Amino acid sequence: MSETLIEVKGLKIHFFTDEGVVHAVDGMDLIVERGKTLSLVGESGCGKSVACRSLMQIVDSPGKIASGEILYHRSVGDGFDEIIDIAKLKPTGRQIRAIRGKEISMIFQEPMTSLSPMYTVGNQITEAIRLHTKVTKQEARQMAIDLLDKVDIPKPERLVEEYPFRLSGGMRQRAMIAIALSCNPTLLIADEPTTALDVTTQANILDLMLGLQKQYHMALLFITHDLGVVAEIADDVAVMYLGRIVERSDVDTVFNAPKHPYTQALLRSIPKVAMMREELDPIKGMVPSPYHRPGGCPFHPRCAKAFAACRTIAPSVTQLGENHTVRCLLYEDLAGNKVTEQSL
Amino acid sequence: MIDQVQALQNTTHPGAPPSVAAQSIATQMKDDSLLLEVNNLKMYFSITRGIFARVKGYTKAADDVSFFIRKGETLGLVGESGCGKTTIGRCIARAYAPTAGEILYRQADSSVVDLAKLEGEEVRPYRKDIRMIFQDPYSSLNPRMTVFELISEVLKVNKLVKPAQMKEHVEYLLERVGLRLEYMQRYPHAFSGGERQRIGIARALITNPRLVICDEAVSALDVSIRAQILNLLEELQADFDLTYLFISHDLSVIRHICDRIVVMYVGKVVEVADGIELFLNPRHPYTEALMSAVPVTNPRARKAGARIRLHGEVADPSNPPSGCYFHPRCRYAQTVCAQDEPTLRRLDGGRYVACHFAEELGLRGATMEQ
Repeated sequence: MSETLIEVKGLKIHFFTDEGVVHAVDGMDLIVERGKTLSLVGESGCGKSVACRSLMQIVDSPGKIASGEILYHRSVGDGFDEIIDIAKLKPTGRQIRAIRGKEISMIFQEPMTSLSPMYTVGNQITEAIRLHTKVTKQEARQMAIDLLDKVDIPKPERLVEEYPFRLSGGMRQRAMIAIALSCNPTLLIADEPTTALDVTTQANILDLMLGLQKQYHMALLFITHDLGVVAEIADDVAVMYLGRIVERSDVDTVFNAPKHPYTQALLRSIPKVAMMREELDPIKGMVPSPYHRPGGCPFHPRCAKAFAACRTIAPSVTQLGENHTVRCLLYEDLAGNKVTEQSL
Repeated sequence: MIDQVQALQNTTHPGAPPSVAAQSIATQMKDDSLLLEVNNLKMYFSITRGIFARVKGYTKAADDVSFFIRKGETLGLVGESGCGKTTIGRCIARAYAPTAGEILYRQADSSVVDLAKLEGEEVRPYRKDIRMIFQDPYSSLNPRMTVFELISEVLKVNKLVKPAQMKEHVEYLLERVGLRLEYMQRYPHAFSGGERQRIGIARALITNPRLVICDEAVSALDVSIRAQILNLLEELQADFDLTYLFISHDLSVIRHICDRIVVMYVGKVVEVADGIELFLNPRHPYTEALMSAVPVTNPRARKAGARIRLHGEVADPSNPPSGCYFHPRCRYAQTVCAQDEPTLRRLDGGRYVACHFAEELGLRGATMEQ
């Protein structure tokens, strides 16, 4: 059994709209490792949510996976893996439905809209359990109560009968987590799970997720735009800009020795608690319209270190360290030889 | 009307001692440096039932709130959702008529007026002095009005500027908030979130206000845009001599922009302190828990496990717990906390705390980074 759980290669997701084709994800490469937390960071519109939805084949129309591979290393026991290309599966097919919600499950940002108002919390958890495992209604109900207990919900036997509108935001998110965990997933995708919550609730939910991750030994793919949250929970970080991963490394390197100008600029632009007050250093301009992507390196119009070549040459991936890749011409020898970090 | 208000004031807390802090603050309005002083402000929303809308109870969104704002400073109002911070902002802007209490506002000629007592048309002259910037740049701008119409509307309604000079005024402000003049005839849908927030800022500043209430003004924006808007707000404050009441749930933003900070919990002020002091030395257990919940942007200073966990839920403002509202979740709570409600007391260094044990508890502040 290899350490790699999901390997995304050259993924492109296009949205075919009336105004033109939007390249939401444009050649993304990403590796998710077993049992680790990978944080996907980026501003709104950078394609992080769509990319993660594609791992479960739930990209909404008019979006389509145009090309690329999503290789899922499914463990079949005895240390052997079976490799499935999720990108090739039919979104409504039997195979993906066996994976979706069971082996790969997802938590969404808005806990009110992702739970159905028409069914009790218990109903919604048992639905997931009974879809994927052969258990009786009674057993499923007991499992649901155990799950709610695991996510620290007080009096779970009472809560299974409640409708979602009776719960607070934090409680709803806990119920969502219970549903996501109901079938022991190998990968949990969390799409901005704490953005809609207060900071004290957010802290509790983050602690809970980290505890459960250890307990279930699952991989966690955590999508967020909040760098503070990333610093708290991630093992590895991938920074995304306009549909591409621009930098990927372990969390310490990304925060303390970032290499890509976008990562550096992002870190400079956040106000820090308990630091002396100083003027913020924002990134100039804004994320360009998806219909008019800049040529060359898509970040060049906002980049402080851009030079002439950035306008025409799209940077490729440069390996800086064992676990550190960056997509920037600064680190690329244009003659074709890779520059070392020291020579910069 | 005044009799009713007083009757309500007297009946809601029978036997409750008059707030000490309120008395000590009240004397300070003599102080010229204060722009606004809020004393014992109450805003109750009635809960009604049945077809005759029988009043069943009250949601005490703001209950006995007292604080002041100095001229030229940025006062932060922080708390979790539902703690009443937006209600306070709206009371000061007089979008709501407060149930009881005083909102003393010092005018440019240094005469003092109580905004809470004004009714109907009497409020109008102050609407141009006190302006608001809203959270959601998408729903706060009328999609059927052009940028010019949006910004000039208040000038037109209040007849502040002759129609011929209107364009000049709008152009000046558009430039100041960093928008191009060609944008004047466009509609809001053509703008991004950050640009819309700039329009919202221009709309607030066009009347040359003295106090601007920023209600979660940067919460809906991306990090890179948020930094731009925060810098813009600071720049404008210096140039136009503005005072801000900055309402936010985001402590890092509050830390960055505010001189002094008011912390609220379920409609009450629990602590008031200078910016850095509040972060390094919280004196109220709720502030301590808030500080500990803020994610630190340095993976080397991770708090996993060391974080203070608040159990249970935020109290229901229509049915608050007895004594200190925070006691069911407080890890230092003692029997007295469940019985007596602590008043907001003044400690040294211009700090106000509503906790029985503020002096005795050695509370942890935010972790220093790097």
